[in-house]
This record gives sequence, C-alpha cells and structure tokens, in this order.
Amino acid sequence: MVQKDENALIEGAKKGGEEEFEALVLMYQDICYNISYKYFLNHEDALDATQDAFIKVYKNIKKFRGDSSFKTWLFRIVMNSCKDISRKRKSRIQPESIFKEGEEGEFTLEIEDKALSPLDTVIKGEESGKLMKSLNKLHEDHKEILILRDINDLSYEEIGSILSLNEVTVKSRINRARLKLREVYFEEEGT
Amino acid sequence: MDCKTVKEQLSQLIDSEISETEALEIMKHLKTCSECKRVYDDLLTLRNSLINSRREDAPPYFMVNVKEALKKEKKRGLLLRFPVNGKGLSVVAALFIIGFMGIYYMQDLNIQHEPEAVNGNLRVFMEQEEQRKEIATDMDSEVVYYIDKLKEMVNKDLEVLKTKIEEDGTIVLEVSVDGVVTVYYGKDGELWKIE
Ligand SMILES: [Zn+2]
Repeated sequence: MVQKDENALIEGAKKGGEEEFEALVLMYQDICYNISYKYFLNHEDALDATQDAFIKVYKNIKKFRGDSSFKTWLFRIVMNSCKDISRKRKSRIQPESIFKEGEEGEFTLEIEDKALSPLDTVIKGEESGKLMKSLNKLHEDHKEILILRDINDLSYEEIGSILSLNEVTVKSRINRARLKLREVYFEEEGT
Repeated sequence: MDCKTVKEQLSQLIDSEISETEALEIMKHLKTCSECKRVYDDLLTLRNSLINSRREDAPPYFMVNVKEALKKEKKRGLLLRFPVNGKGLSVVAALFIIGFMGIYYMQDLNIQHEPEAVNGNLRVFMEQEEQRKEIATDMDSEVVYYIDKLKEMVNKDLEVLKTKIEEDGTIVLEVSVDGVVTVYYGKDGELWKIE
C-alpha cells in the first residue's frame, strides 16, 4: 500500500506536482534529518544538508528511473550533501582530525588491545553522547557506513547501492569501521 | 581459524551476513578465545547502542525552509543555467529587450503571452518580468532535460534547431543529427519521434 502511494507521489512530483513533492518531503524529512544530524552532530549543518538534499531531489526527480528504490536514491543524495557541506566547512577551517590514515588497506587490526576493558552491555544517556562523538571522529568512509548500517539499519545490499560499493567492500568496511569505533570509544575513555 | 580472520568477520556474524559453515567456525573460535570473544561482545554492544540511539527529527519549520529554498532556486536557476550556452545568454538579453518594448509575443521561445497594455509603470513591468523569468526557468530545465535525454538516446552530436512547448506541456525538439533534421516529442519523461 505504502509502496503504491509512494510511486504515485514520485510520478506526480516528476510532472512538477508540488503537492506530491511536499508529501515526499514529509514522508522522509525526519529520517534524512537524522542521517545528517548523526553525520555532523549539530543542527545547523544537519538542516543545511537535509535541505540541500531535497532541493536536489526536486531538481533531479525526473531523472529517477526506479532502477533502485526511491529511499536508496534519496539517501545517496543526502549522503552526498553531507559530504559536500563537510568539504566546504573543511576548506574554511583546518580539521583537527586525528585519523589521517587511509581508509582501506593500511589499517592494521589491533590484535594487541589488552588495555581495553570490555564495554558494558548497554551504553546509555551521557555515554551515548560519547558514542556519537566517537562516531563523529571516524574517517568519513567509516562514519557514513555506520550511519547507514547501525543507525538506519539498512541492509548490506542497500548500502552497496547507496555508496556504489561492491558487496565485499561493504562487508570489510563495516567491520573495519566498527573496530575503529571501538578503539576511538576507548580512547575517549582514557582522556 | 586464526584470530585475525575471525576479527575480520565479526560484523558479518553480528549482521547475519555470513554462511552457516563460516558462522559455526567463528563461534567455535569464540568459545575458546577470550580475546576475540571480548571484541565480539564490544562490537555487538556498539551496534545495539547505535541502533537504539535517539532519533533527531527535522524541526517543525523544515517544510517552510524547503519551500523558501525552492523559490530561490527557481530564480537562481535562470541566472546559473543560461550562461552555460552562448545561445541562452542572448535569450536572456532578448527577454529583457522584449520586455522593455512591451512586446509579448516571443517567437524565439515560442511562448505566447496574452497581449496586455503596459502602462509604463516600472513596478508592474518588474513583476511581469519576474513572472516571465519563472516561466523561462521552468521551461528551460524541462527542455534541457529532454535534450540531455535525446543526446543519451542517439549517442551522437546533435544540433538543436528549434524548441517549443505545446499547450499540453509536450516538448517539441527539432534537431539535426548528422545533417538529418528530425522532430522529437517529450512528455512525462518519455521521448519519441513520429516516423
Ligand atoms: Zn581469537
């Protein structure tokens, strides 16, 4: 049912129907905003990115051919908007990123991590803020894949389609990202 | 299975994106290796915590913002899009000149405006000019879309000779491909020609 409604809205929006477009915005604004917010951890950038994404949707919806689901197509646009804005911000302010190492390849698995104490079974309240900050400190490739997988619960296949990655890369990148997140989370604990 | 291989596949196990045989092998390792088991537990905790993290909804004024941005975008679209091709620039210039002259029939663009009396009031002129810009912008993006689509379709260099919008919104493109002039029609995202 929902699918049918959505398709009708997409078709309407393609013909320039503003009501249909607005209905699509209403359907997806919260989930898109959440993606952007988790990406930036601030409302100003999240708002800019989400808004930019919907403007791009409006301008390009005629080019959406339904090869992927609308959600996948939309999330790709949101992710790209986040990256664009992040790049613009970075060109103005020098990032104090501590993770300069390359994404794939050079990253070595920390076998010797005996210094790390086990995590509690649940991370709550204040701790969840720390977790979000840790996520935010990750390399862009790691951050975005965890936002899609662990915050939005998308399948490996959907993620591959959104980020244009093959299955093998999706698998290895998700794992590297989680290991890195664990490391950063504990580093935070130490400081 | 060694620790390195196991650690590389922990997420696949957590996400059930793994074959049964591999899963069994990893689980067997986890029973005997406290080190890997601890990493596994941590990754699972992180995953569960992220998925349960508070969702941040869009602010209530979000739709208003989008609408405002769209309005601006439509106006800006004209200024940004036209300079891309030299022909377009002259169309903008023509729009202004035609506007000043109070002629409402624009042969170039094949848009017919209702003939109206112009009282010489600048404000009225500005408003009309504004409306006309929006018409031109909407039309332009529409035409550009079908031209792009046509280029993709014929996969050859083509020269656009004439563009027109019919009353029902059908875009008519008269193009020359390898010196052969053909008329294409575009509507609702589809493009066709009449043989
Ligand atoms: Zn082990």
